[in-house]
Amino acid sequence: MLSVTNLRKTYGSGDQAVEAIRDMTLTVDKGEFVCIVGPSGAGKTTMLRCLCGLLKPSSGTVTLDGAPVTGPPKEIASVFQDYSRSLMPWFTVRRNVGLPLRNRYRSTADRAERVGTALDAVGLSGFGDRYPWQLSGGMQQRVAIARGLAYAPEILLLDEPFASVDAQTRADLEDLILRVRDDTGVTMLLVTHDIDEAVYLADRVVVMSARPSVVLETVEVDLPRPRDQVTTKRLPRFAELRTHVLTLIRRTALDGSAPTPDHHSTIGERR
Amino acid sequence: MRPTLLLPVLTTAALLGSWEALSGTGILPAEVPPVSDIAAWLWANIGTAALWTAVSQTLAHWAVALAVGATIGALVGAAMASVPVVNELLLGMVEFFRPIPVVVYLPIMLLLLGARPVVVVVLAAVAALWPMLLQTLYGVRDVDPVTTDTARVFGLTTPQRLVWVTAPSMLPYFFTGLRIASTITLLVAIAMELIGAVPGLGNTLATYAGNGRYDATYGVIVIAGLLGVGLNAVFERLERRALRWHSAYRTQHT
Repeated sequence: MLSVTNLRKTYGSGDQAVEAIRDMTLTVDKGEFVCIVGPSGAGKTTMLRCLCGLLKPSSGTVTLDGAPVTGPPKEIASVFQDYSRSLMPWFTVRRNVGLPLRNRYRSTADRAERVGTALDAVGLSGFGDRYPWQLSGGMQQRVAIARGLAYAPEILLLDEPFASVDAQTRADLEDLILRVRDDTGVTMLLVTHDIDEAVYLADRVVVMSARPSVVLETVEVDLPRPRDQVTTKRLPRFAELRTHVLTLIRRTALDGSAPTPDHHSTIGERR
Repeated sequence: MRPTLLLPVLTTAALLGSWEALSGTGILPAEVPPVSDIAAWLWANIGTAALWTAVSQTLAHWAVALAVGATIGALVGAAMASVPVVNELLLGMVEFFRPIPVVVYLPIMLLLLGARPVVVVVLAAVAALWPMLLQTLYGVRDVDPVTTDTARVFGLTTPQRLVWVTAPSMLPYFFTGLRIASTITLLVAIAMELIGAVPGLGNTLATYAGNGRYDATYGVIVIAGLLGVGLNAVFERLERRALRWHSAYRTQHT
């Protein structure tokens, strides 16, 4: 279980200090699919960087199964938005996926098998010897997802993973992620600014306010699974949920203040 | 012949042709011999031991100086880029010494060590050091933060990040530095041989010129030029091979 308590992050100091996150409290249970949405500039990426141990919170705690996160934990893998910078152009697809396994599996055969399984899972079995830049954007992001999966994490963090691909590819990748979740049971925490995507994928949607960010509300998504791009999105309940989230986000984006928080969050200071 | 080669060949031929024609009119001074004389000297001497000894001496100066200078430059540059304290300690010194032309050290070096190859090597190495230092400094600083984050998230150790992320990422800068350093090193080596009377192409050049052997003087200039072009071509090939993955050299085959 990943648990964030009263997380606060301020950049800079004195007069130049920028408060990115004021107060975030949330928990992600094992096997859950949680999406974090918020208006642009809401400190979503800052939040994820704190979760995966790349950034030290100004105050508050991040714990993983009870242990505080002080550096990148080996139970967490990440998929970044910018696949072209996150994949290493000097390595083939196979080496990119296998790179983080060096410290985990001694035998070359074990590593090769894990890489093969991960590439199978994202439908890229025949592309191991290609270089990332020889593939389309969607395929590159699948390589990044395969790399995350091969790491065999408990939690996969995805930072706006489909923001740089076209709409059709985005839908395909969303379904790929849902299938991977069903197959592996890995916990997913996905950050996005796309409300439809969040509602479509998640068990719970955590709505963040504009900067300085707090949790506005945690929306339980009671849509049936398995989900489908056409039938799920046609359900009246889908429309209700997305309208609800959209209203929250538009309000916070427009007036920039934090409305009544839900029971999950605590706000130290309110206008 | 590729069209990109045709025009330069034309201009070269036109230049050499008009030079030869001007020589025929007799208005050129004795210090500028006809092209045909230079070609004749080259033809007669291209197989002689004397010429190749000089070439090999210069190449030896170049090779040792480049190896030593580039290694020191790369190490210092990398240290400055990755350890802020080292950068603070050395930046002032680098800014002071870098613009000084190495030839100003020559008189002292000649007094200290005499007209020996080691003088040429030391000064050429100092010249090679700067471009390598700067390029490595920029290269290590320019590693993409997203790539670094990726490496950290997936738990790569510091040595692993150095070998798998930093080194390949800075390779384009490394090769640029190496090519610039190679050219400067050759230039400085020949110049120091010439001024310091240390055996090599530079000294050969000075001897011929001093004795009025102008056809030979120009012949040696041609050899020195070819040497520079050849070395540059070798480094370009190496770069192309090592940076197949880089956007500048990629060949798409999906």
